[in-house]
Amino acid sequence: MPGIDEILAEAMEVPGVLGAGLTDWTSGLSLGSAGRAPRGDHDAVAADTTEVAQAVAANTTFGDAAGGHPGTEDVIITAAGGYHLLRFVDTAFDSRTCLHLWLDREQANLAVARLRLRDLAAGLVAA
Amino acid sequence: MSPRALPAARQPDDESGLPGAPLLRYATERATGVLLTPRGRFYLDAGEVACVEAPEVPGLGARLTGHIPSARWQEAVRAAGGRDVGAFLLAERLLSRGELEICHLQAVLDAAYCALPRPHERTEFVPDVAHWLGDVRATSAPALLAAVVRRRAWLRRLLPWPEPDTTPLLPRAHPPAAAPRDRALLDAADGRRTPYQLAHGLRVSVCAVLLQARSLHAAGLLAPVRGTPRRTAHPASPGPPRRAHPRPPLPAAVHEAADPEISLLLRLRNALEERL
Repeated sequence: MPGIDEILAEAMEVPGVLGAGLTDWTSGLSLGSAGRAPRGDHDAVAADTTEVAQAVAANTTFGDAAGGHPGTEDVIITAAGGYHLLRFVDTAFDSRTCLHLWLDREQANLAVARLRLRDLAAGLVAA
Repeated sequence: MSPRALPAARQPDDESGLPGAPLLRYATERATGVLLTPRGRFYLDAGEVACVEAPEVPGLGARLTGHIPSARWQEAVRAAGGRDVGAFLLAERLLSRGELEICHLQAVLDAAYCALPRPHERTEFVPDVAHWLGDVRATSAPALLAAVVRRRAWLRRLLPWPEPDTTPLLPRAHPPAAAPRDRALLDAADGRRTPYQLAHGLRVSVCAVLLQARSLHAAGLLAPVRGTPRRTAHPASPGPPRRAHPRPPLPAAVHEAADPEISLLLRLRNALEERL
């Protein structure tokens, strides 16, 4: 029954991963982080992750306007040097959190990383 | 499962001219104990926020109702003997560590959102008191404060009416095809209950109610009640009785001060973070 730290440690084993974090996307509160962060600031990553998650989740086309249980699973951002993957965590109780993976584009396989992140998010809330 | 007997309180703090200031002060001092505010309690463990409770928002047990039957929860809390209940729940495999940590932090954030002392409100600090949940996952006071400020700003941007937290909601229609979750909110909204009270009754976060209110409002199904006076600090909550969590006496004086100014809070947080 892994906790946040164990899941983030597992996330750091995904090929090509640079950093990982779990964030409450209503507030930008970082619930945990591991590895590196762009510009070295995990709190800034949590705040920026939050802005992206909010834009998607509270959007009527991509999310659920109520922002409660968006059918949205992932947000994938590709950039010249890396990938960012956001995964909304589905819980049996009321919560709004997302997992974030930052990956090296040269080392990572986007499809593999996405499936690993899906499993990590499920493992976080598996009793 | 009540907190252990409270030792004598320190002198009430009345110098708190800035929002969140008392919390950050005790965090800087690495204090252990409970900070009592007019709307809740902040439990500190060596300066870290171990738990936050606010009677107006659902606590951990209420949030987990759909996951752990409430009788089973109460039995577990009793069996744990009123301390380190979190560790007991994990040992009994009632939920996973990840679920406990996430649910706990969501409850902490929601309670902090409600209970953060406003400028000039009286607070009291009682040293050496631990929360019955035990050490689940502590969070830093400046990070928590920043999160509350950010969430408040976001919700105010989303909701098209002033004071969204405290404005009662009234249904405009009860469409038979509404999703169960929407129907529950439409049924509970009666033009008197504020989002805090609705959240308590529905056992979800205030944030969830406000997000849902936004989409129902956009669909023309729900509206804020305009021109209602702001709620008092002690509304007649429709929530379950709270005798399981007896509170130490809170300061009697309750001020209806303005909500914290966000820019002021951010400046204060930055200043205190530099000192930490």
